[in-house]
Amino acid sequence: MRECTIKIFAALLLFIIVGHAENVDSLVVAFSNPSQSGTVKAEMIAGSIIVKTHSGRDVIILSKENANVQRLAVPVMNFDVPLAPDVSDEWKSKPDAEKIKGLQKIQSSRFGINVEERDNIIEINMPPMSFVNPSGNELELIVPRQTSLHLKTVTGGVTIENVNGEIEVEALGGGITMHNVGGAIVAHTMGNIEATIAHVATDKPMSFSTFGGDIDVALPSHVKANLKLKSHGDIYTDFDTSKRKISKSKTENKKDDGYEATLEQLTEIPLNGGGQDIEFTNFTGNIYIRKLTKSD
Amino acid sequence: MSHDQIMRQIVPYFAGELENSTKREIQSHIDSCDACRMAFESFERVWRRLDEMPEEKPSEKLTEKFNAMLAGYQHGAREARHPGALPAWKSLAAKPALRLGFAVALLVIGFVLGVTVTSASTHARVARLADELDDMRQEVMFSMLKQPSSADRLQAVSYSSLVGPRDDVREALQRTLETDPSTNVRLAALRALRPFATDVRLRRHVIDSFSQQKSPLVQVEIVDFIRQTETRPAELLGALEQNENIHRAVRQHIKWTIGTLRGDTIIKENQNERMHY
Repeated sequence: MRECTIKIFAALLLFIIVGHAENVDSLVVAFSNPSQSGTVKAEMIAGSIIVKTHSGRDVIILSKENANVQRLAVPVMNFDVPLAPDVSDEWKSKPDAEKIKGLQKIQSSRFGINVEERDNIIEINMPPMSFVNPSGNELELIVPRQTSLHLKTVTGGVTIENVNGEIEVEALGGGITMHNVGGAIVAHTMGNIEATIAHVATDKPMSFSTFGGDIDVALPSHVKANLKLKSHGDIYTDFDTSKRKISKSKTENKKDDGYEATLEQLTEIPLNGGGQDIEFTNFTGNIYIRKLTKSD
Repeated sequence: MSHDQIMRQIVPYFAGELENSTKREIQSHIDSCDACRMAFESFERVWRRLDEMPEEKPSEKLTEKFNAMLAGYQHGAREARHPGALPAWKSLAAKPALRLGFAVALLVIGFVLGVTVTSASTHARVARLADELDDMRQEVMFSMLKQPSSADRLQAVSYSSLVGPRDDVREALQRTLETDPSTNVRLAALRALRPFATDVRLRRHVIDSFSQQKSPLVQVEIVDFIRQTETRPAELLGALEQNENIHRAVRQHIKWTIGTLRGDTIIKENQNERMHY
């Protein structure tokens, strides 16, 4: 009965999605133990990842590829709701007409997402062939609000909205944007990090690091935490910094090779009496730590 | 034997009251069981301290009095024609005055011994508890460093400061710096290694890990680490700069750091700057 309901729901969903946006394929995956919060892991080489929430208990996986329809070949494991239509001949890589002139195709490469559910962990693996399309892949995940995320992409960015859980993100090529998230966050990128954090886990530390970008994080004003900041740029905050442990040591460059940096030590600021560590590290950008306001 | 049984044998073991076979059994158990071995070792320390403690001797006056009383008793006993004299303690018990004297003597000895032994064993117990707490934290740290979640591994790294500067903690942090998949965890490990920077081997390990680091951010931190901990950082940094595979910005940072060390750059150091890692 339950399975049937899921199928109907999923079919309906597929209808809605396919009906309205032709360039999207979708999968619905259920957690094996939906009463407990689950974890979604996704790793991509090329493309960006967007995570949103819904009130349901399943995880909806949408894969988009620019304007082109990209059918998914889905080897399904521990997962009983195969929804994506079979790979049809509609989508094929588009080889140079000149190159295939007079040749017969004997094997077809396919894009496919491999999804596996085990012990309440949904693991999404993009195929190595997604290399081929470096700009266009976009993976959208719609998850229950209480979900842990473990996301990694090499060339794209990551956007997360409203998720509460352990969030671990690495986006080497793009920035990381998080809105109204909560829990324990570990984020690393080469670009900017922007986050509004509505709820901070008291039992786990957090860490944000970027090499080439700014870190702009809003925390609840009452948060009990111990900020540890290390930046070669500037640090701004509207939190009370009177208990800060180490002051800056500034450096000016006498030589005119245009390179300037500051000798920055680790700065520690206990907020509201202190608590778990929240570390911020960057190299060339600035760090902004704000009090969360209602408009955020 | 179960852990509980082993623990129950701990006192008889040190008191030498056990059969050889039982001893061997315990020996082989504690060879393979870390928890029991640690318990045995800490008990052994206490035991040894007990052995080392000087025996309390009654004061001279007490001895004199006691001897006088004894002499008096012996005299009386002879007079009372008890040829096969009773054992001393039995006769003592028979004479109220002597009994009182002996009781006082025992009380004094007991009190002195009690105070000394208690304070020594309290010391040992506190030390043992502190050790056990450290061991426990270390266990927690090591198991958490193996967790798949970066937040857990970060927590493990921050735990290291509570365990204290032990070699195995340093090694675990070094391994984390070299192999952890998360840049954030590696950064935290490098910071947690600061208290160990007096050890030159550790500093070499950190420098050696430079070229293996996938993240330029960690490399920048290593450059800063070298500048802050080495006595001759410019030479070491110069060698790192030769590495062809490093990010442009990292190379620039090395050059700039060397510049500040040579005094080409004006550094306004804050006067009361203290590092607290």
